[in-house]
Amino acid sequence: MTGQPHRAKLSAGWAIWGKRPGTSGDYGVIEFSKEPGLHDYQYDEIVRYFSVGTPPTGRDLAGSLPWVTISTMTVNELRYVGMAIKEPTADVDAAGRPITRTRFFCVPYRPFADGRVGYFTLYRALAASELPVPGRDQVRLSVLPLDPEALAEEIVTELGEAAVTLTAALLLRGAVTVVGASDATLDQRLRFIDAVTALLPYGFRAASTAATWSDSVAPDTIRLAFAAWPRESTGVVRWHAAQPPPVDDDVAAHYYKELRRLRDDQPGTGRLASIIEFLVRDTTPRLFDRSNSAVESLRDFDLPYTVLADIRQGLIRTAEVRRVLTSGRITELPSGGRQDLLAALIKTGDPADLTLAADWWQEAVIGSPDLILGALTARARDFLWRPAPDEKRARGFLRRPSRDEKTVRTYLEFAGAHGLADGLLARLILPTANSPGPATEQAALVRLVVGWLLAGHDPAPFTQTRDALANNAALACTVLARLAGEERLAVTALDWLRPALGSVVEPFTIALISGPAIVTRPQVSLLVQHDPTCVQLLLDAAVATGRLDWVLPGFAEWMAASLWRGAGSSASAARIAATWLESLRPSEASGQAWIDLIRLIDGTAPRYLLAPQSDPGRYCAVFAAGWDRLVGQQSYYDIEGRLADSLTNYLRGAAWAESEVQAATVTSIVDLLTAQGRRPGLRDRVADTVPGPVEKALRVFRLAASRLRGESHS
Amino acid sequence: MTQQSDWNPPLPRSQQDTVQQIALWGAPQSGKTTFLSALKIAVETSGLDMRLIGRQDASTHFLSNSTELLLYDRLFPSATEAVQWFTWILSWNGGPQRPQPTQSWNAALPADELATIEVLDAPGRLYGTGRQVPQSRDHAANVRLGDGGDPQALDNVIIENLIRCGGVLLLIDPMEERKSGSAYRYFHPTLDKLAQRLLSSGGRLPHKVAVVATKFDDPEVYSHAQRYSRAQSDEFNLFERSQPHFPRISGDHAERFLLSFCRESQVSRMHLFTSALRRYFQEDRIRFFVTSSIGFYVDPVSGVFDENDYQNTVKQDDRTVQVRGDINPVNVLEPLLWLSGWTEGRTP
Repeated sequence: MTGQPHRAKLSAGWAIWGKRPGTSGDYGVIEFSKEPGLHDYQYDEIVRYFSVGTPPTGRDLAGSLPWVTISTMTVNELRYVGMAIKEPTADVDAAGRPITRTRFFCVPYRPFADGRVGYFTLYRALAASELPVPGRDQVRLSVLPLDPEALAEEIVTELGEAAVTLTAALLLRGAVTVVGASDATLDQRLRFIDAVTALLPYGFRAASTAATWSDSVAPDTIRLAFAAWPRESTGVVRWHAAQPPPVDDDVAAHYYKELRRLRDDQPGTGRLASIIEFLVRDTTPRLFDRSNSAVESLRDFDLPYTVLADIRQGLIRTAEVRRVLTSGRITELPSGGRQDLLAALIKTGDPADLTLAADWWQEAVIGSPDLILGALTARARDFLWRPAPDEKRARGFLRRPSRDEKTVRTYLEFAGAHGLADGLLARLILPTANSPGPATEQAALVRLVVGWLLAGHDPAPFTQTRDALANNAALACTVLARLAGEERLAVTALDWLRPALGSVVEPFTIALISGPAIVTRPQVSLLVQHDPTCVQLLLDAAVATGRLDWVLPGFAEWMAASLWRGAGSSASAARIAATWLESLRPSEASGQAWIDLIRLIDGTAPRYLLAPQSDPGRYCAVFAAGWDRLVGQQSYYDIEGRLADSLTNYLRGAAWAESEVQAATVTSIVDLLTAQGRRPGLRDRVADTVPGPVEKALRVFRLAASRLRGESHS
Repeated sequence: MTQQSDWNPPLPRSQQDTVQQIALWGAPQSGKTTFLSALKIAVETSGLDMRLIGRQDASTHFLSNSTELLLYDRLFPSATEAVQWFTWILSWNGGPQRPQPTQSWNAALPADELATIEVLDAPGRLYGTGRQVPQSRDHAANVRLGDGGDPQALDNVIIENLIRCGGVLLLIDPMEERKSGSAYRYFHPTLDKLAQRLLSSGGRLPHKVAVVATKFDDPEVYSHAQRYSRAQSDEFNLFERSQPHFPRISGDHAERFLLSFCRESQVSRMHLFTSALRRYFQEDRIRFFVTSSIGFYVDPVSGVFDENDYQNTVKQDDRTVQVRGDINPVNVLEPLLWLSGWTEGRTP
């Protein structure tokens, strides 16, 4: 210590409790101070309440006087520390029995605590005080504060650190009796009490009670007392004897463990003095019924290191991590440790903690931020994966963002501010096996890429995200499909994705923005290789942009080729793809013609052929041209036969000839397909689909004649 | 006989013994603690096959220490400053044989009868109105103790203990009664509280009450006994038949003796005391005893009580009072046995 320690100036209320010599009455208050305004009966109640027994007759016994009892009380809501010094006198009562005298003092807690006063020095000052004070004034004291270094030295060399530590820990559980200290002097006992209390946060002195002796013959109200035998229902510590540590999983065991950890770390008395110094500063009044706070307080001593050690063992106490950062004590750690703490806070904290993390970013993050990025990913994914409260809302989150999804944006913003947004988004996109709701997650990710990245940022630097999308083509295609009708964003997205996903981007470019190019069969085939879903998304996009005409030919060709094979993955994909057509409802005649052609390839009934047409001429022209194109492109497959078979099979049961409109459509298509002498057998095959030879010939003839004349049939 | 591997320990409380909770009630300096201190010697000198054993360390220590104090240090115990709680086991021979003796050396011994005696000894002041409490506490500072303890907790301990107890040792110092009328002063406040708790539906208190007039060895009390004896018929015998022929007031005369002693005082309220006693407790559950914890001095050479040299206390230069000779308790064990329901050869 440097310089003279500052002495605490204290005023103590007092009472003398005893008997007047030669009287036969009982013990009671004989005189008392005016302040702090207590009546004599109140002093009497206090002294009796904290009484620890009747002193033994005779001197030099283990329990012989003087006794010192430490107590606590509140007077008009002000906390006081009490000290009773019971001493023998030379007087006797009416029965000739020796009279004892108790000098009771009460000192306001706040100045006592502000002065860091210890019990032993307080005792010394009070013991020297003569009572009664004239005018019933308070006793004025000037007391030295606790000296942590001297106390640490005394604990290690004289009092026994094991016993002091154990007692301090056990006090947090309940009352403790120290036995086997019959030879210990009053000073030693008081120093032990001081030492034990010094190993607890100082604020417990606002509730601590202790006695240098208890006769143990009745339950008392004292938490720590020396006695010949264990008091009822108290923990026991043996003076200067080896004893086992607390074993239960409770506050005593936890506190003991913490104390031992701090000491094992640095066994020298310097560390012990530092611990005492630290605990002494913690003067906020505490109660033993909330003794758990002591463990937390002790952990504060080297909280940054404790928290770091826990983190490295996989245990994160977020509140403590937060405390290290808010207190600024993170700077006590080396840079690697700081980064660990920051990562732990991000990983387990709230979005609000990101502000704290931002405050300490410069001091904490040095070098590769992989750890931070991992933490951000883990925490953002927590929110991304958080299940919806019910099924209905889960379905809703497929269409619109949840609150948790909005929270993920906060993490992205934070990451963006520190150059990690690309990494974070890329990691979120990377497929994981254990997503609890893949569909919801997918929908959320699409919204994040579209709504957060493409709509709000320049995606060009987000190369990791682009690579991640390249490995998740279905997600990329979903993103692109989502951009149908938003040409500016679509252009941005397509340009951004093209370097990594050219084969995906090209057909979508056709579907979303450009024409009059056409999606080719190889492009569809490549999409299928990425993920068959991509084709469906392409079709969806094309429907939304009205560009189905540019997509369906290539799709039909791919279908034809795939179905022709009849087996294998491509064929399976084609069969699945055929089912998507069910949901496609193009309004244009060209799209309708292509759908029907694809259905014929698939061997199912065409949907629009015999339906009322808004533009039958266009339908027939596209139908016939498409037929020709399919046959031309797929020369090595018998597409011609497949289409003809499917068409005639369908017409056979359709009674198309009985409707002039339908007959006109069929005839028109047949005419186009058979023009210039092509497909010589087709006309007859179609004619054969009309039941009965005479009627058939007649009807076909009439129809043909009608067409040639340009007349309508009546 | 099959030899068991373990020695059979005393049977647990629930199987064999009876718990007698006894309250010690009396004014300050009425001799409560000295009475308890002489109890072990009273048992040892009773001639009965009886033992008094502490149940916990502190209770055992009190027995040993007080015996040592009275016999060897010749000192009286200090005035009680705090509540003391003792638990002793009174055991005596005479019960049925042990069903399965486990050691050959005690095979034929009959089982001991046990009575656990729990005694609360509190400063006498707690039985009176005691302190000068203002009419209203409103103007007093608001005090809370320790972790929120109740300052009146001790008062409650006294009453709760009396409610629990089956027997009461009600001690009266005849000298002090004659001087200040202390018996009633420290009787009625506690009696009022007890009645409030137990007699709200009418009736009388259920306790057995042994009224113990202490300090029979005091010259004033003894000289009155001599006068009282002379006033009785020839059948009244103040002295025991057996050596050393100690004086003893029999139970039949104890109350009358006490009343007559106090009648000589202007301040005694003994008539109020006995009247209240019978008003609140059942007549057949009250008994008076005249006792002396330290007894009368007997010259070690003659071994006989000497009417001219019987005082067993001596005042020292420092004004303390010491015991002069051996401890010869008079009627100390008897109230306890009566409260325990003990009669020779019979289970309580």
